[in-house]
Amino acid sequence: MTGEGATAMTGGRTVSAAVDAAVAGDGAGWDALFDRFYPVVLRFAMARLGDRSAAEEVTQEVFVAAVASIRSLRERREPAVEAWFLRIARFKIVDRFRRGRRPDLEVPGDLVAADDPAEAATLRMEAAEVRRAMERLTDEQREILVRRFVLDQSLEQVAEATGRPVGAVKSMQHRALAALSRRLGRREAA
Amino acid sequence: MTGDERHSLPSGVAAWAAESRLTPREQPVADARAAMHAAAAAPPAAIPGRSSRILPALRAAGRRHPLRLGTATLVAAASLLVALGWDAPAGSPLHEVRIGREQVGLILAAGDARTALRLSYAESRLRDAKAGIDPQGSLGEAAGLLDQARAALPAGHDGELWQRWTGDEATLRALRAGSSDDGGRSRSGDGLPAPGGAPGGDDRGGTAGGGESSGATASPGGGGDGGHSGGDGVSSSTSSAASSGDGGGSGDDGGGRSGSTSSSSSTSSTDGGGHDSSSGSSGGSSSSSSTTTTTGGGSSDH
Repeated sequence: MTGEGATAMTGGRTVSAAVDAAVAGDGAGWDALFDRFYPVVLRFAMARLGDRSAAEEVTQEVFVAAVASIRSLRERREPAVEAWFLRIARFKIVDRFRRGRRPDLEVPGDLVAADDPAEAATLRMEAAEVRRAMERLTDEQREILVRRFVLDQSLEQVAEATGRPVGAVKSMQHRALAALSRRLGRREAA
Repeated sequence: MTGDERHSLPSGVAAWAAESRLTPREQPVADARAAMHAAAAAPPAAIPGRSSRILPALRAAGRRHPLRLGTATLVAAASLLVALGWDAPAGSPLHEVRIGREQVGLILAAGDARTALRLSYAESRLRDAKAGIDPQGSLGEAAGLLDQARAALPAGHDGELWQRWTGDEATLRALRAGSSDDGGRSRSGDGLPAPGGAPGGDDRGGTAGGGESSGATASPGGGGDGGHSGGDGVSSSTSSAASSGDGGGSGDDGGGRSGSTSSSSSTSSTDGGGHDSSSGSSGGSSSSSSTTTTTGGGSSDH
């Protein structure tokens, strides 16, 4: 739902029509859903895992799992379908953490290719710190931060996707950032 | 997200957000799309998640609480075993479960209740035999149970338990008579009382007719009647019942002592009909030998 509204078209279809087609076994329906939600799921996974390869693996698992459970999807408007994909992603990420598969320690190619590798490395470390601190937040707080800052969703979009009033989302975001600051401050002090 | 908001973000959040905004790479996208289409085209059972969710859930539970899951599995297996073997007939692999269950019942019961329980177990064996489920084994077990019940019956020879026992004995005898291969082991030829008659002794036919009767060779007809069928037994025991004081010519030791009706029945009346030698299986045909067997009968009193 990054930017588009509930009636957004994916490959000439609405999300709802794409879901209908996918449920009916139409490959084009799956393609439309894939094109629409692959980038969203990939970013969501990256925000939690911090490792590109792991995020890509998880994203692939999400779409395979979606095939198995799409019949259980009742609400077929775009925000609901996106929330459904992200819910599957959350399960897959938790499963990955549970299995103890941590991000690879290889030096990413984009870091090596950066104009200023030292600065890129610093940014990466800061990002890793934030990810670690975020693991201490609640699921709801984490989701709101990812939607707002990674998926670039507006407060209204987050409110619609999560089924909360805009004011509640704003308040939760504020508390989440405050908690994050405290945790990051504690780390820096330590 | 406004510029002011971004400015007020905690240190590192912007870096984290920028790092997370990946642009999809061509190859992983192609791989993921192919995997998705393969899953969509696969038969339902081959797709993870479409298959049973119970097994993965059990596996997860097993990882979290291995001891509890192990205990639950054991209990479930034991319950299944008990359920399957609850009424397993003789000859079936789980028959031991039934015997165990009955033993527990017998241990818990006492007095007449225990006897009644034995009789009901015997009756269920008789039903099995009647239904053609391992007749040999079922009748053998029924005989054993009736023997045990007989030993615990009250001395009065009347009451509900006695009636049941008598009826069960008659059924047993009838079933054995109907059995094609009961041969010399038949209880029916051992002079047991007829249905409706008072119970006889507890020495069972098959063995009595063949084995113990060997000591009573004096009985001309008796030895030969060791394996007599129920027909003879019925008719003779009826007469024996009439002649015995307690209304029950008891019939142990079988054909070997058959024909000793009058002399032995008086003995049986004194000991409750338990171990007296008895009459009857060879019935009228042995009456001529009664004189000879009187001695034998007396000597065979227990």
